[in-house]
Amino acid sequence: MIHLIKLKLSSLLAVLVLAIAFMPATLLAASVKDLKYGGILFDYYQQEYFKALVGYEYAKATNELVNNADEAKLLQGGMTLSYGLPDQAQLIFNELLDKSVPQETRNKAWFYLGKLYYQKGDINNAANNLGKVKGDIPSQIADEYNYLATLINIKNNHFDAAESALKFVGKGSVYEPYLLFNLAISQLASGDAEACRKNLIKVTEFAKSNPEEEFLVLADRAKQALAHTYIQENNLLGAWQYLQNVRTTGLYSNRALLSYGWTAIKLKQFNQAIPALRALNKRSISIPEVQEAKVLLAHLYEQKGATRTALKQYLLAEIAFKEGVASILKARKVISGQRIPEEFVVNLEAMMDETDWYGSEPSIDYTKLTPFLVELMSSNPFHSVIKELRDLYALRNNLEYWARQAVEHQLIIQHRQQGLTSKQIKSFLGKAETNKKRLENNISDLRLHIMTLDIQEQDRFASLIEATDKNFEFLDDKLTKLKAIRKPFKQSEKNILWASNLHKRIKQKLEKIDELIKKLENVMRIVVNAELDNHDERMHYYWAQARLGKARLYDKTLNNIQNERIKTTGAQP
Amino acid sequence: MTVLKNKKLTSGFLCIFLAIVFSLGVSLSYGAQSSISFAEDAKAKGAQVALNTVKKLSNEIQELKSQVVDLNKDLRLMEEELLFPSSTQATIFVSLDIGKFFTLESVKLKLDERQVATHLYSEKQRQSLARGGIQRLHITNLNQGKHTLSAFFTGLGPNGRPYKRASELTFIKGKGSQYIELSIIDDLDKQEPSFVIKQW
Repeated sequence: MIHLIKLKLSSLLAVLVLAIAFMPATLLAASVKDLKYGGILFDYYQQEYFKALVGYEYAKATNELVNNADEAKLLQGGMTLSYGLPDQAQLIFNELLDKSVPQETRNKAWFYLGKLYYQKGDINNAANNLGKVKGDIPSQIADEYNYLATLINIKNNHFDAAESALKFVGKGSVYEPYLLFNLAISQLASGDAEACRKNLIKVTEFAKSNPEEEFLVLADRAKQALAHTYIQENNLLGAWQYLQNVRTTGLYSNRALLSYGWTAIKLKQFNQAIPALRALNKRSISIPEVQEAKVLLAHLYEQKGATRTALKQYLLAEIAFKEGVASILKARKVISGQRIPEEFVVNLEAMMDETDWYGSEPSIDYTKLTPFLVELMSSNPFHSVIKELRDLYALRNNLEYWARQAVEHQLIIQHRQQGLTSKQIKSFLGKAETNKKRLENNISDLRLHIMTLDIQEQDRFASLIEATDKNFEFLDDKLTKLKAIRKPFKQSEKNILWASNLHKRIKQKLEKIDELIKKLENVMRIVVNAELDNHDERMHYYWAQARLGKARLYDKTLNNIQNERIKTTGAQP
Repeated sequence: MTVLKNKKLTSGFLCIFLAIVFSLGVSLSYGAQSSISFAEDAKAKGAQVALNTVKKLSNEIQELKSQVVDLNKDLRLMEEELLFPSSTQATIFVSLDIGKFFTLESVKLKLDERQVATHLYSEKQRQSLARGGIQRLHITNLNQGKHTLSAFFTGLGPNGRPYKRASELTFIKGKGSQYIELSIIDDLDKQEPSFVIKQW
């Protein structure tokens, strides 16, 4: 199926007409002429970029990339970029573009360069490079190309071009809702609330026809954004209709519930606000919205004149805040632990995959940190630290594996150096020949003995005799090969030196990795502690609010008692 | 409010990051306390420290990653020279052409009637093979001369039925290293998979 799309690219402001063939990725078997190139692809498609890069370097060193050399080079550039080496990737693509390569390869190289600049935040250069793609877009990158081109259009506020591209590009593709969402948020930022709302509604509709969790989460966020646009216009009823449809569980449900509660209060529908605030009240105290909801709920009861319920809520809130402050203290101890950053970074994805982990009581040490770091995890600086740390831990694991292998290598080398001499081999062969003759005689006796047995009994031994004959053939073969040895194999001095140098390099690199890990772990601790300070301050603030509320109610009750006494006894205050 | 059970965050997590980055500055909840900033200075300072350090260390980390890739390449070359010298080396690969008629689940390999390797495939690995990836299944040392290689494939055939096939090749190992490819190819005429062992 061929779609014609128009994309407007940044400073070029050029309209490119592109023909795109959409084909399922599984049907795009690459044409593989070199076995080793296939090996690189095997790792690359599993997103094992490090392994794939090593495979590329290895195949190149052994000169085994003859037929797929250009494709392999292009792949190397892509993998290098994905592995977080943009500077090296840039060199590779430029090197490739300097050569005379087929148009398809050139197009891919320009695309990757565009992607590289986009990741660096250089939108103009990203657009320039993308604009150099000529003719048909290679089908393997078509979806990603369109995604990137549309993102650039959005970034440059070319909303019309982005909108028209979205009408044609990969309808129903996984990129569609993200592009719509990003477009909508940019439209809102530029003041076009109406266009923003239209696209956010499309995001929610996409989730209806694709009810995977990923899109449902995005749809929740879109509904919240829709509500936000109405709140900005003081249209509380408009906001209300979307807030009602945000799911009450999930990553973004806390904000939705609190917004729902506040909107209900502002619409003077107190009875509608209470269930939302109660739902929040049951959740982990580490969530900022929960802290606000606890005090707000008590205040709402107070406003409604339910003094006893309000007092109870203030007292319970106080206990919860006390526990919250204690858990922040525990989290501080956890992050100062030696292995914690590594466990946290390595298990991050698994933790994020857990169902409703934010509401449950964490049992493992590093998960005690998680509830406090939800917001932090979506921040770019923290994410960069985590990404670099994850790569460094992987490198450390890799080199620790090689350090263990190095011990084995040395053992093999040592063993070979102490191997048999020519004389020893000769003596070994002599002994082996004698043993062989003795065994042959034994077998021959057994054969004769078997022949004296019944035919049926003889059959029982037939397979055993056959297997023994094969073993003798194998033994003969080995002895013949041993006899052919004129001089025993000895590890060359060059190889021994080579191994020893490489083993030294493992040690040096491990030291460097440890040094960098230490630096980044310190940064991670600083950032986490700053986040914990933020939680601590907020928690103390709401705790104080709860105390004030409690004091106010006690005060009011005392006044009431005094007033009652004055009324009944006529006593003066 | 519609209550739907939240299952789990899927692989789109990173994509969501992108969406979040775009929407920064748009606070989606509001209330009486939304204007209060709690230890924001310390938080911003922490974030700045993180960014500065990552920027400062970025070149060092990039350089280190390249060096470790290079070191791995050298170690692999050295280890193969040590354990599988080119004169005796034999390597067996697995490839899959499209895989429409066969879903590969496992492969078992026998060399000179001795089982030398088995592998159970994950969905990711299957996809990777279907897109043109080639797996190095086994590497060993072989003497010059005649050898027999048998491969046993199990999986799901056309119509999703369990499917088992074996393939055998007798070959002569020469002086240099030997590459053998176990290839699963869709036979469009017969509408079934065919299993071929190729000597490179």
